[in-house]
Amino acid sequence: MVKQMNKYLRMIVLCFFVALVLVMFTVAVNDLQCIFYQNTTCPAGTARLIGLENDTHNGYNNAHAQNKTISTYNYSICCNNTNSSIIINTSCPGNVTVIRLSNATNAHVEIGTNSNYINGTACFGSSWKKVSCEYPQGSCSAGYACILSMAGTEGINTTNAHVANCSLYNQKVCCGLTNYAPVRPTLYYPANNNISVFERNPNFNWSAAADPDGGFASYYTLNLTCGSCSAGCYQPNIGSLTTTNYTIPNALCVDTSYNWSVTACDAYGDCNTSVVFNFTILSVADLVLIVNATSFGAMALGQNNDTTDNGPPPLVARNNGNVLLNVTVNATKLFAIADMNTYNFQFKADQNESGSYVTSCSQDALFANMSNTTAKTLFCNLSYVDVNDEGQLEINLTVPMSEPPGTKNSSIEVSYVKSE
Amino acid sequence: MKRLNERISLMMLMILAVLLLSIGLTNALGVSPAGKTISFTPSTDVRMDFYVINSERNNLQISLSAIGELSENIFFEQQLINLTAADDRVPFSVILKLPASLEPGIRTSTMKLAPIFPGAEGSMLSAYITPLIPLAVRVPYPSKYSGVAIVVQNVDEGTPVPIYVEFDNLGAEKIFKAGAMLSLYGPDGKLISTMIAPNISIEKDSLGKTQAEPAPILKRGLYKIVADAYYDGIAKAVEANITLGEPLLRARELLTRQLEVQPVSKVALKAYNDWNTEMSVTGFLEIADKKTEMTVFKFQKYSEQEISAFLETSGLAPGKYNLSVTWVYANQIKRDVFQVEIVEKKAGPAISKTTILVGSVCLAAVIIGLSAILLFKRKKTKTKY
Repeated sequence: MVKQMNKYLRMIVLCFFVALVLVMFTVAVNDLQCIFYQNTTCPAGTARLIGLENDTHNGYNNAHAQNKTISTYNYSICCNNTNSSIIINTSCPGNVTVIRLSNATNAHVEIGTNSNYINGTACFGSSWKKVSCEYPQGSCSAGYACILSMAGTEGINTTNAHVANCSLYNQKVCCGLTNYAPVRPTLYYPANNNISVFERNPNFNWSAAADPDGGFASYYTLNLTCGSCSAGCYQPNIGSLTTTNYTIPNALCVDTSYNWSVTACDAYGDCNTSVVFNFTILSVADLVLIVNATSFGAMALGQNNDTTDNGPPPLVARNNGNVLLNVTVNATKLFAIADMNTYNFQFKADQNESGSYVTSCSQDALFANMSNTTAKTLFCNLSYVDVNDEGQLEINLTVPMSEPPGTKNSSIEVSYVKSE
Repeated sequence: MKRLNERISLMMLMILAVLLLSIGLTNALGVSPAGKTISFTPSTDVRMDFYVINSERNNLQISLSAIGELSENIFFEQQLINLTAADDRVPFSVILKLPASLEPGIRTSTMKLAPIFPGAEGSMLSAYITPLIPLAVRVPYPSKYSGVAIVVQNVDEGTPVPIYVEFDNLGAEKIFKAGAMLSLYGPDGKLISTMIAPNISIEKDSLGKTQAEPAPILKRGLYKIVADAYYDGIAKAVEANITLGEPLLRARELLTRQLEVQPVSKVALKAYNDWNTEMSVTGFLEIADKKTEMTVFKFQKYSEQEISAFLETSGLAPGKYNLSVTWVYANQIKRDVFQVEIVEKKAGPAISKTTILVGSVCLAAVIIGLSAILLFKRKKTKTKY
């Protein structure tokens, strides 16, 4: 029993140790590290921040500083990263100012956030994440590495100061590869739980996400899902958006519950995702007859005329809704002598706006006989997209040879049903 | 003369009347939602809410009715709806009285909204709108049952095509394991690839989808997919013909960039059929105001072909023109424009006197030579006998 317990204990200790090593490795893997190096140049893989030496030229504590481009001081602060693939550079300007130098050489220093010295700066940049520096009394915050310590002679240590390694003075200069993700974007449109969105291609709208490191998010990703909806429903995940609104290119499904969210990311790939909003596009079937009547005027017996030359004009239908429509027609009897469903009264579809319906399944090519009992297909999949949502109902009449004179009337019933 | 004037006036009046009739004659009627599907619960009343949309703000009375297999179960809170110019949308409700039992499957009916005084009075032909709104009830099968469908998402050429198998659980129980083996065929029936749609589970009265892997990368064209699907030990085979993109004829090159002024000029073009079946192509050529129809050409799949057509270029002044080629194929019309140069017809090459002289000498020499050979042969024959 005790033996078995010992076995479990050993396993737990081992697991703990492995976890500890992993955590340490994770924390340390991309840490900035600087060393005081006795040379005018730095070893390969490191970058020189400043040159320094004391008055007797034999040490780096209580030292004056010189610009990294001057190589007359015997000591250097050399910096790199624990991960060799991350390059630390010390060029100015363009990177974070670590300290300022009173002169190019033989200089006193001040912290980077001061602005008394204009003759020299020492800077840090990274190929990975943003560098931040802080200047605490005592010790550096977690994630920050101590670069140097500094002390002045008149009680103020943040300017007019000498340089030393981190263990000597209380005033520290600490820098780290720190980066904060942008804040969560706020979603505007479609609003949460909006169940009557009309547009099939909504213009999604959200707030610009402020970046705590300055400015705003570099790019956004718009994500839409509809759970257990049909596989035919468009569920885009669109990245690299640099604007705070986006109109999706393909139509979403109607009467389907969608979730949407936006992820804001900075240039370093640190991201924050908004809360998830829900919306539904409510299907609307709405057909308008822009022209709902036409007259052929006086016609002679046996005369044929149609509306294809716009004299008289055809009837025109527009899909004002947000779903594809199948449109059918039937009509009351027009001529006294001729039965319906004959060549005397015919109809066909025509485009009023190109591509408004699918020609292969619409009555597009030829005239068909109008029936008074059977609704016949006029348009198949009449589009709802504004630029191509209008079709024409062309009429072709041939007056029967023995038709008695008089006014002829017919009412055409235009029925429609959603086709998606 | 007076009679003619009267006729013209009458005609003008008729045209005006027709134009007046055409202006402002709008008639609109909409419904939202455009349809409804509910799940079957025995012996219950289900209330469904709709809106009539009066986008043109007409004064209209609408009559409601139901047609189809559930028509006797459909009741309206009000049979007539009054729309006034002040109403943009008017709500109405439908009560579906579900019986104790219905035949399993999807039971459908249609609600019809018909205006009572439709059309434009006084016109020879007037039209009115009657929306038809489908109402459906999902009635579960007593045991395990699922509808199976293949859904293909349209993507750009060169991108993996997402192919899904959808299971619509219409049974009375949850489906624990559903998946499929898929085969993809070209239009010639040749197997292109096989895929597996991994297993999923589907709740009762729900839709489940599983994506076939690996997603194939396909060129535009026609394909057939056969899915051998299964759910909890039940096999079901479904197939679907799919179309990726649209047939495309790519005009590659105009071979005759210079045309002479003459009654008939030959125009030669190279075009490529970027579609996986044979395609019949016709169309017409146009230059300035001259238009000629082309005959029908057959293009084999994925093949380039040289075609020629004839075009009248007489009467055109020499210079640069746009030659428009309109292709008509597979319910599509596509236009390509090429630049051509119209030049004067070249005169035939003049034959010089020297050429005639040299030619005559050569001809004489040939005749003499042949005669000599014939004489020599005849002599030889005589000698033999």
